[in-house]
Amino acid sequence: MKRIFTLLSTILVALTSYAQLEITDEQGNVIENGGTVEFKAEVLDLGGGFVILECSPAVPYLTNKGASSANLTVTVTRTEADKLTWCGITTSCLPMTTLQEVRSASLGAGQKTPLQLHADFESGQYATYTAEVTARLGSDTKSFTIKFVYADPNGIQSAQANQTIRYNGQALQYHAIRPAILNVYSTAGRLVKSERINGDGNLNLNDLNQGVFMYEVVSGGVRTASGKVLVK
Amino acid sequence: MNTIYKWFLLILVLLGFCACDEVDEADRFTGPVEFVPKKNVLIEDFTGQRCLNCPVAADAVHAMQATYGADHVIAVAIHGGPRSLPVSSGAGLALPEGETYHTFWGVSSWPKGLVDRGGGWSTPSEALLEYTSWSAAAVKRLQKEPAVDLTLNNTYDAETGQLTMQVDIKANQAITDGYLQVWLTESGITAYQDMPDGSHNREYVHDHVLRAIVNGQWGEAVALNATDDTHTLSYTYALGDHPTWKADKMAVVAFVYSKTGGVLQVIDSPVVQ
Repeated sequence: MKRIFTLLSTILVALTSYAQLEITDEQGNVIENGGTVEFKAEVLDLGGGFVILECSPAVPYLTNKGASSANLTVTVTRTEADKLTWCGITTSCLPMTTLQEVRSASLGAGQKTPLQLHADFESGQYATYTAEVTARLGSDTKSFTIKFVYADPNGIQSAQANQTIRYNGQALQYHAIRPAILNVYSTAGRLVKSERINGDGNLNLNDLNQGVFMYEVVSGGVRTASGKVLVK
Repeated sequence: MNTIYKWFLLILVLLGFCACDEVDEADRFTGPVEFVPKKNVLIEDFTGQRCLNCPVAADAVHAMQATYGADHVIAVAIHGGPRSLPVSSGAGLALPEGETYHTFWGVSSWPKGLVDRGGGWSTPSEALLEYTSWSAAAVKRLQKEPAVDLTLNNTYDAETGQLTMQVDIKANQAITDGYLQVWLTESGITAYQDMPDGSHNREYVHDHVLRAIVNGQWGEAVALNATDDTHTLSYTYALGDHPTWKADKMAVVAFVYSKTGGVLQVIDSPVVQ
């Protein structure tokens, strides 16, 4: 009897060590391995002219579809420019101070837990933050990308993590965290303006004819941002 | 695969029943041990309106108060840190003094809390606890004999908006490094709060929010050199200077603490009697 019990226990442990991880969005749609999910920042008016920027989704949800509890380990990797706070998996909201953070928790059979990764955008500094997420539940591993987008509502903006460019109707306002060159081209491809940028500043477009212009930011020989503006 | 798994599980369960011991009815465990609190406990809940998990910690505090009594578990929500909104914004609950507390205690993730300031501390951050540990820590502290006895009498003049407080302290043992701290709190504040499900609740009800510090950031020293030594301290506060505060939702919280003993005793009393 003892040997049968031992054998059955061993087989049961082997069976139950197989856990199945499912990642879903708010509507319950499955986010496939290698997929991307995007969240947009929203401006909330709390009254008295005080506004806050929120990009704090609870989702994606990570669900244990297996028949028994398993350990869930989630790794989030960001770039230096991405300011993120992580509230999920464990019980603490913690601003990410390192480029990679790992959190673990036990996830029961059928239980789901929210990722709760948030973008800490600064008002007026339009940007896109990107995080790579890898989740492992037992022997099942899935990875996906999260993009947090804070878009300029007044212009056509290109999403970029390292610089932010905003057209305020008269100039391209830039925020560059490292030296770069800001070039502006006509639709015919002619370079009409070029300026070295670093930090915060403006490139005046008031002296250009009306029309659509393309801009790019080049840093270290690599284009790091691009977009279009309509000069009226 | 599922069918095979279910059969194995059934067989294991049946085998498990063969291994049960018979326990006499008189020896069976019937539940948590009950006790009568000997002292009150202070929960300092470091929180923020943009902290998704913080409402869960607030619920944990309410549960503790329901179990052990709100007069024995005295909670103060101290807003601060990057997940909070400053009171200067008009929509926030974080005082500059609250930020000072967050910094001193080394709060770097939220929610975090102190239960009787850890019963004493050698470094501030060692006293911090995750909210999941608050109940167990409180149970231990509730059963300790209080080193001091406190009584608190408030008088509020609604016409002048003047609040007068008198705190009487009696030592049950010698305390040479004690401080008396007096705070004002307000409950029932409807304000913005990020929720665990990611929603933005503009009508969240905040309770036990630290509104003011009456006697200095860290209180004032009270030397109680021998058993039965007493001190009486009186304070006034102009509640009328804060028209948005609701006096009938406010309370005075007074506690004596020391670095070696943590919070030795705490008491609260409504502003409007």
